[in-house]
Amino acid sequence: MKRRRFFQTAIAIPAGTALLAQQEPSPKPTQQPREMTPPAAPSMEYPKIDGSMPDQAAAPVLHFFSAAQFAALKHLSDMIMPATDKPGALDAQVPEFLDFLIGKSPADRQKVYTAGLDALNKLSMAKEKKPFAELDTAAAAALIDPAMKQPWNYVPPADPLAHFLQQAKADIRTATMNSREYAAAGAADAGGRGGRRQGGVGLYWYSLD
Amino acid sequence: MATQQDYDVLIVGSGASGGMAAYTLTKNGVKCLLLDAGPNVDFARQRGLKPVFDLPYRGMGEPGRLPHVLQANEFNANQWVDEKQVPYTHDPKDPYNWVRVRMLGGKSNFWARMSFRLSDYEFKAKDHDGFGENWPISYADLKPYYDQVEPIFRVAGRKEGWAQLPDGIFLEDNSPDTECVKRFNASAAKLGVPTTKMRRATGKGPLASSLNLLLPDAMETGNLTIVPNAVAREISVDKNTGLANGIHFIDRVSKREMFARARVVMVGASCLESTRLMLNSGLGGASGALGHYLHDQLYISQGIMASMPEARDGKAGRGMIGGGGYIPRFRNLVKGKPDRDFIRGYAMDFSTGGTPDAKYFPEYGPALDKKLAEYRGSAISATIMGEALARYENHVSINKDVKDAFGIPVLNFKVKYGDNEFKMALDAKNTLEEICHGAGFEVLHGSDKMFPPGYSIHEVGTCRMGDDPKKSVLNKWNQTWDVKNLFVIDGSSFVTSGPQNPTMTILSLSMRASEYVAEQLKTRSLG
Repeated sequence: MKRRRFFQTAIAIPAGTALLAQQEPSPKPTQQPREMTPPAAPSMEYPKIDGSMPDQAAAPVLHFFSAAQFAALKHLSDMIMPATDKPGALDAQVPEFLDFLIGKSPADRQKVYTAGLDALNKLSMAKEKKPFAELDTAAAAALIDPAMKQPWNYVPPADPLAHFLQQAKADIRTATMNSREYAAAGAADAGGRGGRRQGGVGLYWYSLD
Repeated sequence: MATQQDYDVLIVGSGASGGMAAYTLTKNGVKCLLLDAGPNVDFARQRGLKPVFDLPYRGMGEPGRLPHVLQANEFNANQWVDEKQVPYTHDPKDPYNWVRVRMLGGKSNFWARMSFRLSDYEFKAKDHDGFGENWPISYADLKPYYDQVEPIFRVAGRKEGWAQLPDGIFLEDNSPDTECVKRFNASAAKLGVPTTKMRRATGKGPLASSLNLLLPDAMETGNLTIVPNAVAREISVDKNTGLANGIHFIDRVSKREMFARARVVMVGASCLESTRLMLNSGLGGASGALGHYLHDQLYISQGIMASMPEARDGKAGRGMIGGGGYIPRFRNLVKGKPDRDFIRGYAMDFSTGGTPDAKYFPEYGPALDKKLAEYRGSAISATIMGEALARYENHVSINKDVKDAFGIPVLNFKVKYGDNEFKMALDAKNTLEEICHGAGFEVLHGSDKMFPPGYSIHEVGTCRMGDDPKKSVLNKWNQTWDVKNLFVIDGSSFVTSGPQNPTMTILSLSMRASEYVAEQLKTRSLG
């Protein structure tokens, strides 16, 4: 084995295997070693190292929603996109992502969420005597279903809860289907949930110089 | 290489109008300098495939980045003009969605390719219903130019012989309709609503753009010099002659100010950028029409969302559903006999196949997944585009208090839709619902809620042409009344929009004006 080839192989195989290979008896030389050839010129290719996105290695720090709002959003996210044979919103850390997204958004979009989540908790306290996050799925569904049934239109509903639920339904679905977890599970193309922009690949325009 | 004194014509903008001017003039031996505010984009290098989960906002877009560009998403955000770099102002209660592209080829790199001719229902609209003004030209004046433009852009369509949507030089589209489209068409016909195949520029390769269909031929003549990244600031006028003599521009990258000289200036920077340049230059304003009469087409995407029951549950097979068509204007076609409580008319394009968006269903969770699976491939949707009236009060002006990143004062918008547009939108939605019900489709959603003005990206009218210098900015050759060697050749020259997409008309007007300029240059009658 040529010297360069040896180093390539040694890098490619796991360390344990390499060590085992070294313990095997060396075959007896059948002829005199030849004169060493000069090493080939190094490759002109630049190295390509794969990096990871931050949320693969670290947890997001939450900033925007209050504890009560965030708890309600988590429960709602799990109802809108529960885990099935595909990852759900909680698997895809959608509430944490929305804390980031909505926190960076213009004030009118933030208000849709904060007013809506507050309205949801208020309604829950009035009807069930506990916050939305503590309701079982049936009780939570009974609270949100009337507002969910309002037909979608370009002009959003005047009721803050209905407005929020329409927006949150779209955002939670998109954030789930466009997550790494969803794509990794191969769910993007399955079950009517996927699409070119949903869990798929798109043609990205880099910044113009 | 030419020096700046050698240029016959300086063209501002490289999209449909500027590109066509360069194409026509250079083929006539005219030496042209073309300035574009954006870069010369290498499409292969500038774009790349990315998974949506690798985007910082999971494909949902950077919040607040392009609040007026509803067409933007996180993949294509960089193709649009940065609203912070080149802002504009309006009353928050009356938004205007000004959608812009700055790169060689301009918006022609991204247009929807829908290719229609205007008719004398538009050119002579005042004669028909008494509102507004006629154009100073008729359909017969522009027909020879449509005839030349359509083969360049390889427009496909089906000939119908309609007065309100003249036939063109088409690649004949005789493709069979699916069962769903046949049912839609039959139901429309029962209501007296005509339908046809979509008329669409097929272009060449991946584009139907100035970038691949006009500029390469112009360059090949050896008569064209293109300077990208040249942000036009002001048209310069010789104080002694009163003639335009060049353009002051800012290099987009270095911010260095430059001056380019030519015998004739032709502005085709898009309707509102051309108007902004004219206003900032203090030119073309004698009539008081400059910046006024801004109009476009009211736009309702998904004015209907319906479903074909037979195509549900995985039965949306080949031949059953797919494809679409176009409904031309059909309202108010008989002079003196309006058939509704509004004037003018609207057009609609419809498509079939695909799956209705989740927002149209009240379900969520697994119940929604089940619903979407059931409805997959069964959708029928349509977009409504109606003629917005050209009204004096809808206008742009210069806001001297706000400047863009290049130090150029920005535009302020005052634009609202009126009763005519609201009534038209409602009628269009009702018609679509009636067609779908008649075809046996389930209507999931109908909408008469228009997007804010500007959304259609069909803005026109702010440098309108006319026969009377007291009422118009341009004469019938797109030549300014005030400065005879200054031409404005884009959609700003329109007098009425009609409901048709404007690109074929912009291209044809530009070709016509450019032939006129080439002739005038031979006799040196432009100075």
